[in-house]
Amino acid sequence: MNRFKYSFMIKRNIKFWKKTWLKSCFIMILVGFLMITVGSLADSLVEHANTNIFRTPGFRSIMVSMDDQENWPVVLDKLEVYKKSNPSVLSLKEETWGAIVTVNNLFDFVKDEDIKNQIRIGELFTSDEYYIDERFLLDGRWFDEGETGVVIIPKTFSFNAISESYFKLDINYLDGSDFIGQTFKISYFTYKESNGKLVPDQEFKRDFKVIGVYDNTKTFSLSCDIILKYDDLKSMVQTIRTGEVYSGGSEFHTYRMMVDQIGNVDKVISDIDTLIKPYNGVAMLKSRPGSGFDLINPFIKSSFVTSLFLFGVSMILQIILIKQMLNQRTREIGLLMVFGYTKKQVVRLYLAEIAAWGGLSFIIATGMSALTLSVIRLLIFFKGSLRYKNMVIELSGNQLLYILSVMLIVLMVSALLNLKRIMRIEPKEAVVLK
Amino acid sequence: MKISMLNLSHVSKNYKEVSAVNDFNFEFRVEEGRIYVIKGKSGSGKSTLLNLIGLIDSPSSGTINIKGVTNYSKDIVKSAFRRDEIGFVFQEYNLNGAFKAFENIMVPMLIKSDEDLKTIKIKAFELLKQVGLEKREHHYPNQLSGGEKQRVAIARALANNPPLIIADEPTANLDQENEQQVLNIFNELKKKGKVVIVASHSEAVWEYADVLLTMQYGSLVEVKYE
Repeated sequence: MNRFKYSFMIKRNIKFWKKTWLKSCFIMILVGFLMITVGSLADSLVEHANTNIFRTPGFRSIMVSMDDQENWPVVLDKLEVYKKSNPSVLSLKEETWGAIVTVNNLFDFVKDEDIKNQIRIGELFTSDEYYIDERFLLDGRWFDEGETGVVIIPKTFSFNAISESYFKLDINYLDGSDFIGQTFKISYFTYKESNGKLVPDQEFKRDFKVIGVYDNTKTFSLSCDIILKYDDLKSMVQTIRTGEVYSGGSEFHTYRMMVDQIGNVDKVISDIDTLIKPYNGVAMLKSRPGSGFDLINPFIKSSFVTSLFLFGVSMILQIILIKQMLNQRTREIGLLMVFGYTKKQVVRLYLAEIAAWGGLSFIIATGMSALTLSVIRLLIFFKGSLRYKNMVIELSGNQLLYILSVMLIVLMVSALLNLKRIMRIEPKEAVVLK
Repeated sequence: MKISMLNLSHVSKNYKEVSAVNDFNFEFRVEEGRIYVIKGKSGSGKSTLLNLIGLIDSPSSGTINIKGVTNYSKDIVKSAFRRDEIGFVFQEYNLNGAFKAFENIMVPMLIKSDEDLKTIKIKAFELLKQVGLEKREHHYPNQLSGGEKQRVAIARALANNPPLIIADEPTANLDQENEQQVLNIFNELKKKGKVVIVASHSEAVWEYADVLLTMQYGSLVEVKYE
């Protein structure tokens, strides 16, 4: 029997049994849609992380710490030797930790009294230029090589809102762009212990010109770090020896090693660990991608688990639905055998019909996924963090192939299990079934 | 080589401890037009016998010899052997609701014929004309009366031009007029050289028999040649 004859039979059966098939299709479309969408998102996130986020300097920066005074010069020497021998290591610099500053003349640039009354300006945290890169720049310009006395500030400028931003949604901010070209007069402090608390001790004043703003909006955690050149920040930290104060008086050495690409970070950490282990040192990645990115790994893992779960549920439901449908068609199958159709031909006919429905469901599920991913892409573009704005979100070819295979396996297994059972019925019994 | 003779020799069919057909011996000649009618009460083994003759069931013991075949085995039931040489007409019509009248007739032809769909379709229309349903070609089974359905079923049985037609209580669900129409068709088939083996408890059907076989408790108790 050629394909035109098969097609003749299949088309009519599909039309006649469409109500039954629609139930099965609904499940296939839903499961397929979820699996394709979630899988494509996971693939997009992984691709984005590997090609974009991990290129950011903060995520390629390894901290090497130890409090062993006697052996520190030895360790430092070993690190220098390692840097020279490993082209993946771009730089080795003393860690700056960051200082807490206040901008004393901020309100000189704010004319509106109402805003002055609404805005809280207090302590701000500083980070050095290796925390972010030019992709975060929204306005103004990036640092020039060797430049000092300049600062890049957040677009959404307020106090250090780390502790409150999670809970207060109505915080008012200044627009950082309004300060480009202005000079900030900042103060930073040493601290002393008083009644069990750390309180400011000595004050040091510095001037910084604002040259640009970076995007700190719409991130998972609101950060108002102001970014200084490394050498500026280092000079401030050496003045106040923050590491000494916060570690309770002990001498704590920390160096930072910048790696060329994220793919090499683990190897470098492992090598450094081996080098410094005898000296009780610690090597770890300085920057964490942030709570938002921390969701990616569990998301990817959970998408795999979800996928397996959906596959299992789909398989069970399809076996039940196809069983019901084929039971209703037992007489039809028996008749075909009475007419002289071999079992092979009967199986081919029904598998082809099932594959046709499966194919249609897959196409619909793919279309729905494509639409959903487009909406997600637009939402992220307009509403999302800069970190994800340029993320490519699209249907993943691998996922489509995987999902299509899964759907076909589910359908074919469901069909074959049930057809095998029905074909065991003698034709003479099948044709008298009601 | 087409079936020309069907010889049942000591054929029995048992279901657990019940013997549905018991030591049946008879030779059905298929080479010339004839109507065989198998009569008997319900449970006498008529349908079981027809299933055995139609090769959709295998005997528990005994042999069924088909002229033109050297071996016969249980696998024949499963292998659709010779099915194109035997046309079935069922009591319940067994038409496929997904197919129109002419399409139901096409189904057996699709598997056996090397002809294209268009030619098969034309043949189906001709068969419907033979049974007087040329105006009901495009109707679905649920749009046909009982008699019309049975006539479509007969046309379907003739799809591959089989020499042998087997009909199990073909008029049981029909009124007198429709029954007569069906019997007239059987008569026409006989004139065309086909053999029709009918199981029926209707006296109207018996009157058309050339050979009347009486079954009782699974055994052949009488053979009458008209």
